[in-house]
Order: sequence, then C-alpha cells, then structure tokens
Amino acid sequence: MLTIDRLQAVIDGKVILADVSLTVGAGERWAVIGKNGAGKSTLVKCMAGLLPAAAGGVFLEGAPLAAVRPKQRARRIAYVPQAAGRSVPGFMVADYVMMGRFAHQGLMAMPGPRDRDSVREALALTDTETLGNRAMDTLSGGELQRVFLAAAVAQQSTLLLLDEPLSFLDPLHQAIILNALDRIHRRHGTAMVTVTHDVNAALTRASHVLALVAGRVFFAGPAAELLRRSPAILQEVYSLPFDAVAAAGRTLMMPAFYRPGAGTAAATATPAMTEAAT
Amino acid sequence: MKRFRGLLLLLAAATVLLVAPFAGMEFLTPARLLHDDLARTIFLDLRLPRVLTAFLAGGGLALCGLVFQALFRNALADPFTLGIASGSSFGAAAVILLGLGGSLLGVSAVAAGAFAGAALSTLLVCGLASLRRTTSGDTLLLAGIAVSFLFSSLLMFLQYLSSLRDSFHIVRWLMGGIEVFRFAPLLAMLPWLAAGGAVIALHLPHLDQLLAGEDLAHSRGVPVRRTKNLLLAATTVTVGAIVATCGPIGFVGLMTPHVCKLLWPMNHRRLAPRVFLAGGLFLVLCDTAARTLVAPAEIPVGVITALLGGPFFLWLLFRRPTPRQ
Repeated sequence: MLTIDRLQAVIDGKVILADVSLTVGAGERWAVIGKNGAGKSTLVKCMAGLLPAAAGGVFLEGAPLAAVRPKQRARRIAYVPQAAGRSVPGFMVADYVMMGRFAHQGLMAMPGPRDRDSVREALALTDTETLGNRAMDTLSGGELQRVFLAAAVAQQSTLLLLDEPLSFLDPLHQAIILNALDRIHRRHGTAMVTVTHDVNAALTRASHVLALVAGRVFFAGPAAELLRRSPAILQEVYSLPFDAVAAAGRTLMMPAFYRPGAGTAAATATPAMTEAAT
Repeated sequence: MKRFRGLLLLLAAATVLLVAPFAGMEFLTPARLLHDDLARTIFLDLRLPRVLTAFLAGGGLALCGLVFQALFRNALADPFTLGIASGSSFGAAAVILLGLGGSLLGVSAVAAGAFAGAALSTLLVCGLASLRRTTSGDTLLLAGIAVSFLFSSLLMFLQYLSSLRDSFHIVRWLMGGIEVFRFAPLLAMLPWLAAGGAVIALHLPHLDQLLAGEDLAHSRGVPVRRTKNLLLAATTVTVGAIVATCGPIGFVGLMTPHVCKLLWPMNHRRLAPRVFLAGGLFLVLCDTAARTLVAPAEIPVGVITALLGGPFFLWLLFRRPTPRQ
C-alpha cells in the first residue's frame, strides 16, 4: 500500500536518508531499528508526508504522497510522534481523541454518531475509557501515550506510523502499549511501522524489520530472517556486541552491557564502537 | 455553578449591552428618551453606536487573541504580536503628521492610515518569515517583535519631527478610545469584522489541531500552511479594522482568552463564542467606566482595560487552584 522508491531526504543541506526503498504491504508490521541519528524518525516523517523527498519518492497506492489531498491521506495514514517535544495543553481526553476524527468530518468538524462510535472503540482498544473526562495536562506519561495512540486509532487509517511508542515508559506501560497494538492489529488489520530501540520487541512483535545504518537500508525483510542472522547483524547495526539468550522458549537478543563483568568499558567496547565515539 | 458559567456570561453580556447605552455623564431613563429630543439624540447618535462598537471591538480583539495563542502556541501571543499595533500606530501618525484630513464613507484618513499600517506590518512579518521558508511560531513571533520595534522607532521619529499639537494628537490616538459619532464608523468596521470572523469561525477545529502540534495536525488532514495563512489574513483585517476605529487598545486580546481558558476546557469551538462575549462585555464595561468616572472628561479606555483587567486576571491566576474536571 505504501511504497518508498529510492528516497533521499535532506535536512539543512545534510543528507539524512539515501537511496531508501521499501514496500509496506497491507497488514504488515514493520519495526524500524538503527542507532540514534540513523534516519529512523526522518523516514517515518517522510512516510507521513511531513518531509518532502529530495530525490525519489513515497507513493500511496501508486500516487505520489505529496499529491494526495490532506484528508484523503489522513484516512490512510495516521502518525504518533515521539513523546519528546509534544505539547498537551488542557484538552479533555475525550475531545483530544475526537480530534483524530478530523479527516472523517465535514465543515466545522461537528462530531456525528460514527465519530462517537470510533472514539468509544479507540478508548476501549487502548484501555483509556476511564480517562475520558480528565484533562490532558493531568495525565501520567503512560496514560498520555495511550491517549495519543487512541487518537491515532480513532483516525481509522490503514497504516499506523509510531515513532518510539515505548520510550519513557516503565515495563508495565510498555506491555500495555504493546498489547494495545496487538489488539488494534487483530481487530482492524492495520499495517504498522514502528520506530523502536527495543530489539526484542521488534523481533517478537513485528512481521518485518528495517535496519538503517547511516541513512541507508542495511537490512529489510522478515523478522524471522533477522533473527536467524542475529546476533551478528545486530552488531553491525548498533556497533555493539549482542548475545543470543534462550528465555521462555524464545531466543532474545541481549546487548553486551548485560554481560557479567561488563562494568568496565573495555569489556564491551568493540573497535567499531570506539571508532563511532571518536 | 460551574455548569452555568456559560449562561451566566451570556446574561451578563446581554445586561451590560442593554444598560450601558443609558449610562454616561447623565443617566438617561427610557422615559426621558420618549419626550426629550436632546436625550434621544445623545442616546442614538453617541451612546448606542459607541456601546455597539466597543462590544464588537472587544469581542473581535479577544477572538483574535485566542487565534494567535493557538497559531503561535504561545501564551504571550496577542493581536499585536505581529507588530500590528505599532504598524497601525505608525500609519495613523503618518497621516496625522501629513495633515491629511477628511473622511470617506465615515472612514477618516487616520483610520485608513492605521488599517494600511496594520496590513503592511503583517505582510512584512510574513514576508520576513517566509525568507526562512517556515511559518513556525517562533520565527513569526520573533519577526513580529522585530517589525514592532522597527515601527516603534519610526513612530518616535515622526513624533520628534511633529509639532506639539500633532504630537499630542498622536499620543492621544495611541491611548485608544472609542469616540464614534453615529453609525458610520461601525458600519465601516463591520464588513471586515464579519469577513475575518467568518474565516475564524470556520477554522476553529483547525486551531485545536494546530495547538496540539503542526506535525500531528498535518497527519490528521489539516492543510497546515494554507490554514495558517488564511487565519493570519483574517486576524489582520479584523484587528486592522478595530484598531483603525478605536486605536490600539491593549490587554483585551491577551487576557480575555486566558481568563476563558481558566474557566473552560480547551476546545476552540466551545471557547470562541465565550471569548467573544467576554471580550465584548469587558470592553463595554471599561468604556462605560472611561466615560463616566471623571465625566465630563474622559479617561482613555486603554488605561482602564489594564487597570480593571490586571487585578482581576491576577486574582484568577493566583486563587486556590481548583482541579478542572
């Protein structure tokens, strides 16, 4: 449904993405991994139509994304930005989630019965029914992330872009978000592209993984294949050794800083790592 | 009590609109209007147009303040942020200094100069901001402050050049005042207000979206750049027309939206009518005070707005916090 063709993205004269090609099919769950500054968020912004392509392009069902009318685009693609730097003035939660319905509403965005139904459903899918009458600026980080997700769910798009949905959350609230995403996927078959630093969440929840290194595609394919080629491939992506660990009937990838005796930098540092730091 | 705040505001606005035209240097009773020609003239030619102008000007300024605070996502943004006040003041001062008198269709040359100055300053600010290919709030705000300073210095220069009489005229204009005679100034202001108000009314949901973040607004289907330009144009003509008629009256546009946001949750579709009513109510009260407190003299209304509004706002801000639920 969304195709990226030899995309180049430039910000302030600096090439952030180069020659990125990718096809996200209906219902696929992609995880985007890579170091800080590898271009993950920029890629998601390009997919949301927030950043014009310097070369190549993004196509929604064959049409250049920039040529798709805003409301039409919004009915296909929803976006949840990073937690850092978003403002939440005193909206009521119910009003805020209703704001996700903008693309489905007419003049003056008067809510109709269908809007109210999808808001109710979005609140249920994200465990936020009890928050409806709260003001946004009274919510905790975990509650806030669920409300942001609820607003995107209410948008009823076929593709959901999530930029680090788990950051700043404790393990319980990470689990709540991950479960909500599973429920949304089961219920609506929504395709998802999730930027994440949690390699194991990527490997266990995603159907596909895209790994970016310095703005270029390093790996793009089924999550199972990445798992088969790990931990070697992860070491390349993060310039950091990983260990494969068997736990609860799965293989998980553990970064080297959990190794015993890893208190000293020398125990985990690789040549690539020191090179990257200098 | 909380549920009836909106109704209370409506009642207060209606009462003030009904009573204010009778108040003045001398309180006119309805009975006197029936058989006293002079009283009737004062009521119809002076007080009624003045109260209506004050109400529309206050409401318009407050509404534009609400728009600007969402547009720039800045609590300190107000109708004069883009240098509109200093631009229009410069325009008015230039006309006064050039000695252009006369009027056309009830619009004085000074008013026309003020309107042109307002439009010029907005164009300048948007032009400057577009050099950086952004309409980000901070860039616009900074450009507005810079343009504001530019016009302020030009204004000072004009005052330095002008005679004592012209200089006094300019200073008096800068203090703001709703001195209208008959309905012509109101009718000249009305089309601009109606046009600007209509554009703003149609984009109230967009303001919610912009306030939540421009990236999010974009992803939800708001044409961000077009919306911002439309709203900038709408606020410029609205504020320009008001300032041309009443001079730069401060405080109403900055504080009224904040007062309303302390009383009601953030939702521009619901806030806008309340902000408009509250702004109109407030300015009519201030103007009534301005023309009665030291009658037969008049206090410039701009002095009163800050004098009355400042303490009230501080009280609202620092009273014991009540959770808004």
